[in-house]
Amino acid sequence: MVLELKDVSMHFCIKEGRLEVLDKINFSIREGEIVALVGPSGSGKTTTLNIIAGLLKPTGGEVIAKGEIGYMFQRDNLLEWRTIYKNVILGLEIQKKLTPEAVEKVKRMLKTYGLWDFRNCHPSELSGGMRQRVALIRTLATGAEILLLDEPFASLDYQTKLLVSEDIYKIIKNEKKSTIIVTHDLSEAISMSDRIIILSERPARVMKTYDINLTLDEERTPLSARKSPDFRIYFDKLWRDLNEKMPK
Amino acid sequence: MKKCLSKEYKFGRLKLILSQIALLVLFLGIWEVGARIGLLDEFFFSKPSSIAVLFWKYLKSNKIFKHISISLLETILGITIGSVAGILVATILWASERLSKLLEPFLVILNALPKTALAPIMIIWAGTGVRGIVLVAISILIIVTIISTYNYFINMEPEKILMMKSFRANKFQIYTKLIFPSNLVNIIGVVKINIGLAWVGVIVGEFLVSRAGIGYLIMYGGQVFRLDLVMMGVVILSLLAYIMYEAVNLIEKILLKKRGKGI
Repeated sequence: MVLELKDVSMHFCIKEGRLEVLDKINFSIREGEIVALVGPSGSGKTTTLNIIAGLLKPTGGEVIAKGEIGYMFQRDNLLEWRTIYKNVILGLEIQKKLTPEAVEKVKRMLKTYGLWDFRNCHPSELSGGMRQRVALIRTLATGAEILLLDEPFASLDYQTKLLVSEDIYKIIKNEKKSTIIVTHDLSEAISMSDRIIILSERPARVMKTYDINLTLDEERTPLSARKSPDFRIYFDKLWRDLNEKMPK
Repeated sequence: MKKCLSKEYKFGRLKLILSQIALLVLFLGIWEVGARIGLLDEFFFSKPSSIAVLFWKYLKSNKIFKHISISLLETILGITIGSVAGILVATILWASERLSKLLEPFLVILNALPKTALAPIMIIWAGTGVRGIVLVAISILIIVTIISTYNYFINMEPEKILMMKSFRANKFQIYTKLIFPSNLVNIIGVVKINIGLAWVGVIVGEFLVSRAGIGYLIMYGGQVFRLDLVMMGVVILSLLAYIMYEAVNLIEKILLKKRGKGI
């Protein structure tokens, strides 16, 4: 296990009193596994990620992480005045880890993932998909072993979304990173992940977990996953789970 | 295709500039002719040719340079000290939410106050020389600088700050690597506005106490009903303000070019 959540609870203090967001969340992530976190909107998925990333302190329970955590957001958050290369080394700069080895690693990733020729460009000159790749490499550059992706494709149009998720999936698998991806898109969850965790409505608990095993003739990628006959079955199951809980 | 477009653009621009010059010449012409045929009373309106003659006299006797240099010095000092201090205070307010909440009502009141009312106090505090007038200029622009810069600083996209925090950036790093550079263009905009405000302060200060400067010339001309002197002062003033504005524009261009195409 690279990451373990033990009875993680969270409440916020608001004007009306206490807002219970998470109620004893338990799950863990194996090495190299991609886990999708789905649930109704407002169910505390982002809060869970923020707790794992250490940006929020849980009010109960604990998070055990073995390895550096990297966070990727809905938008790429590239800094427009920095070149692509300068954007990628931002995290290294902040953590004062800009060693020759780290620079070599960054260069290798830029070359491997088709961004080397753009290293001196500014973000505004790149397409949405390329920008998202830059954001991922920026996260990986600091040596993150566990990746948290918070609806990373939500701001992209459908076509780009499919292509970018393909890109990002390949990079994550290639770099053997353990990943949690938060999404409200069920097809995206099935196509990207090895396991899906469904959270209930607020206060969120882990409602159900599915291991995703797709029968496929070809190598599994988010695009090819959509062709599997099992894809529909998982989709229907998830759909039912999420809608059962909806108020009539 | 591209060349053709830029040619068309250049031609359009040339035409625009020529029209603008024609408009100015027309305005001056009507003024001059109106004054000469008695349509405008020269005593109240003066006329462009008398202003030009007077300017030439001041230029030949070198008197004008003393007035220009003293006002220019006061304005540049006012802008520089006021802008730097204002941005510093805005930075401190950004860094401490508690302090900014504490000071908010006071800043709002100070902002609503017509700052020229403070000018006599500033002059009593700092003396009637350059120091007093610079302080008047600062008092006029610093509050606006603080408030607008602070607002730019706190209006950063929250997700970008979260991104910085996810790399465990401290407050200082968030400021130097994100908040300040992303607001560079806005800050230059604030400095541009400060040019006009600093001139207001300098002229008001010179009206009140000075023995030299463009404001002094205008005030003196007004007191002895020398409208040509007043008008000359106003023209010089607008030219100086314009030149300073363009200078800041140039600095902005150089800064942004240095940084690359990303704005």
